[in-house]
Amino acid sequence: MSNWTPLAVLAVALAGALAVALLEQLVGGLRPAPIAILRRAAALLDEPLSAPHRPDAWLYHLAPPLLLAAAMLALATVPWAPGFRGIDLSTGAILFSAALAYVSPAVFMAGWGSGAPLAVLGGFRFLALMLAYAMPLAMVVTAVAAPAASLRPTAIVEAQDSVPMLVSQPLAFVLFVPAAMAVALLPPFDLAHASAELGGGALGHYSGVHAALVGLAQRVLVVAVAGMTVTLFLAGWHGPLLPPAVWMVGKTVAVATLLLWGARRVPRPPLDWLVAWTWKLAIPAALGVIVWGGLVTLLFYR
Amino acid sequence: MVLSAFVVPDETSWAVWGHDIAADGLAIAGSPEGADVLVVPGHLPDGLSEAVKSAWASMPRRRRLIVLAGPLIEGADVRTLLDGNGHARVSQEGHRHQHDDPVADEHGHDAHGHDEHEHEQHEHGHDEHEHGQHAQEQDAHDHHAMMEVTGEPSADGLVMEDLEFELGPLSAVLPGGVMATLTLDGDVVESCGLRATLVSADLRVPDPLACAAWSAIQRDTEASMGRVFDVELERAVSHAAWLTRLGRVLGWAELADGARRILGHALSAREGHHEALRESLRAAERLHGRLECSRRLRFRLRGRAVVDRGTVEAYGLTGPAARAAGVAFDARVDDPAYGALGFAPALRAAGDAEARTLVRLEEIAVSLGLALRGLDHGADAPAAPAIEGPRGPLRHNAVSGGLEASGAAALLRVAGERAAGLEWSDAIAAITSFDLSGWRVAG
Repeated sequence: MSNWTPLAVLAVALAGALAVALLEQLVGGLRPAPIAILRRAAALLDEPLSAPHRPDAWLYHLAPPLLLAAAMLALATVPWAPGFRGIDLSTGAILFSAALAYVSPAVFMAGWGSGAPLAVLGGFRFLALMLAYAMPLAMVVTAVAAPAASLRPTAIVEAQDSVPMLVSQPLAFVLFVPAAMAVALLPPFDLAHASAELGGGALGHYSGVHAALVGLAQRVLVVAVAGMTVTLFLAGWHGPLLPPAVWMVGKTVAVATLLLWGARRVPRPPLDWLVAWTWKLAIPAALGVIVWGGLVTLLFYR
Repeated sequence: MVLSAFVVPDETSWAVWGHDIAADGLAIAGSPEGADVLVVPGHLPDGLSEAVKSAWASMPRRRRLIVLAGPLIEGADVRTLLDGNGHARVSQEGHRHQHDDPVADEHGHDAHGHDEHEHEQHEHGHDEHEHGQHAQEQDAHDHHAMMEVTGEPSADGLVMEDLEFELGPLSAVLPGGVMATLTLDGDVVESCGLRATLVSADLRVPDPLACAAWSAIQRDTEASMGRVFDVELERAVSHAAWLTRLGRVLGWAELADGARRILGHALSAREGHHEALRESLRAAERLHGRLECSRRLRFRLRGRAVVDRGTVEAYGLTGPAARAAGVAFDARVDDPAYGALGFAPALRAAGDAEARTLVRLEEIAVSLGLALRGLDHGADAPAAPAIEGPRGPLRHNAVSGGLEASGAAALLRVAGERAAGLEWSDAIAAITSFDLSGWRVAG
C-alpha cells in the first residue's frame, strides 16, 4: 500500500461507477448517455443540503457516507493486476466480507433516520436479510481461500493459475452470487429500497448530495462484488495473450453485466421465503462448501 | 441515470391518458423526497390538493413541475395551488428551458413518437432555492408524523409493536387516490382498510380512468361501431398499464418491459396509427404465451388473495376480478354489437392473483382483436344499456337517474380484507392484483 493507493481506489471507484451506470442503461434497453449521467451527478451535488426536522436526523445524515465507505473499503480489497491493487492484506478476503457487513447498519440507519413507516420497514427487512446472508458470504470466502492456503486475494488469484475456482468449487459460486447481489442492493434482493413496493424504502428519501453518495455507493458495491467474484472464482487477471489488467477488467464488466441482466429477470421474492431458505438451505450448504473446499485442497492443491 | 419523477396521481393513470412517463425518459420515483420532477395534471380534484402541496413541499429545492395535458378534470388549478399558499412559489423567472427540459435532455430513446406531445403543455425549470424554506420543512415534517407505534404482543407470542399509519392518496405503492389505513405487526399486515378518495366534478365522466367507456354510455342515443373500438382500446391500454405497474410492484423489470411494449403500440393505435394494433396484439399474445406457463409468475402470485365464486356473489364483485373466479359477469355478453363480432369472455377458475393477471392479459388480446374487427366491420352498433369498462360494468341507474359502477366499492373492501394477514410484499402484490381505481362515482 503506497501513498497513492487511496487515489487509485477512488479513481477505480469513479470510473467503475460510471461504467456500471452505463451498463444499467444498456441492460435496461436505453441508449447509454454518459454526459447525461455526469450532468445528473453534478446537479445532485449542486443541490443545497436538506436538513429535515427528524428525531434521529444524525442517522439520516451519517448513513450515506457510511454506505460509501463500506463500498470503497470492499472495492479496495480487489486486486486488479499483479502490481496494481488497493489494500493487499494477508486477510484481505475477510476484510472484504467485513467491509460489506457495514452495508446493513448503513441501510438500517438510513431507514430509521428517514422516519417514514415504509423506510423503517425497509431497514428492518434488509437487516433480517443480511443477518441470514452475511454468514454464507463469509463461509464461502473461507472455503475458496483454502486451496490457496491464504486469505490474501492475490494469493487466491495465483492459486487459480491452472483451474479457476468456479470449476473446482461450483457450489460455492452458486451460493456466493446471490449473497453478493443482496449485499450490493441489486434486485431481486432490493427488499430495503424497492420503489413500487416500499415507495423507495430506506433509501428513497434522500436527495441532493445524500442521493449522490447513495447512488455512487450502490454502483461501487456492484463493481466491488463483481471484482471479488472474478478474483475468487474466475481466476482474476489470468488469461492468454492480453495483459492481466485487461483480463481482470473484461471479466469484471462481464460479471457486472450478468448481475444487472439477471436482476431484471426475476421477480422479488417475499422476505419470509428468502430468509427461510437462507437459514434452512444456504447456511448448511455453505458448511458443505467448506468441507468440499477442504477435500479439494487435500486432494489437488498439496 | 435519468431524472426521477413523482407522478400525480400515478403513472398508470397517465398511461391511460396517453403518456407513458417512463418511455418519455423519466424514472418513476418512490417518494417526493427522492424526485426531481413533479408530474401533475393541470387541475386537481379536491382529494389530491393537500397531498400534492405536501409532496411539492417535501421535494428537494431544485425541483421542477411538469404540467401535462390530461383528461378534463375539474378542480383547483395546480399552478395557483402551488403558487398561492405562500410556501411553494412557482416562479416563471426561473424558466431555463434549454437546460432544464428533462424530456429533451435526458431522452434516451423514444417508444411512441414523443413529437406528438410537444404541442401539449410542458412546463419546466422552476428552480427554487429560498422561497419559504421554513414553512416547507414544517410541512414535510407533518407529512411523516402520521405514524403511530402501539405495543401489543402478537399472536405468535413475540412481543412486537404494532405500527399504525395511513398511506395515500399519493404513494408510489398504491394507485393514486386510494387511501389505506394500515396496521402492521412487524412486516405482516394485520388490518388494511382501503377507500377511494377522488370524486370527479365532471358528471359525464365520474372516473377519468375509463373516459371512453363513460362517454360510450353517455352517448346512449347514438349508434356507432366507434364505441366498440374506443372502449376495447381503452381496456387494452388500461390493462397493459396495470400490467406495467404489476411488473414494477413485483420488482420484475422484464414483465414491466413486456407490458410497456404492448402499451406503447396500443397508445399509438389510439392516436390514429391503426397498423400499431397488430403490433400490440402480437406483443400481447407473446407475453401471454410466456406468462401462461411462467414458473416465476406462479411463484409470486399463485394462491395469493383468493376470491372464490361465493365471495364474488356475496360481495357483488364484477369485472376481471369476478371473471378470474369463473363468474362470467360481462356486460359485453348481452351486447348485440359484441355478438356480431363473436365475443366470448375470458374466464379462469382459480380466483387468485395469478388468475386475475392472466384474465387481464387474455383480455388485452381479446380487446385488441375486437378493436381490429370493429374497424373492419364498419356497421353501426346499437346503443347498449351497460358498457363493460376496464374494471367492471358501467350503467345508468334507471331509478335514481344517476350513474353507477357496480362492484367498485366491493372491490376495495375485498382487496383490503385479502391483504390482511399477508407479509408486506404479498399484501401489496395482492392489492395491486385487484386493479383498484382511486375514483369513486358520487351519489
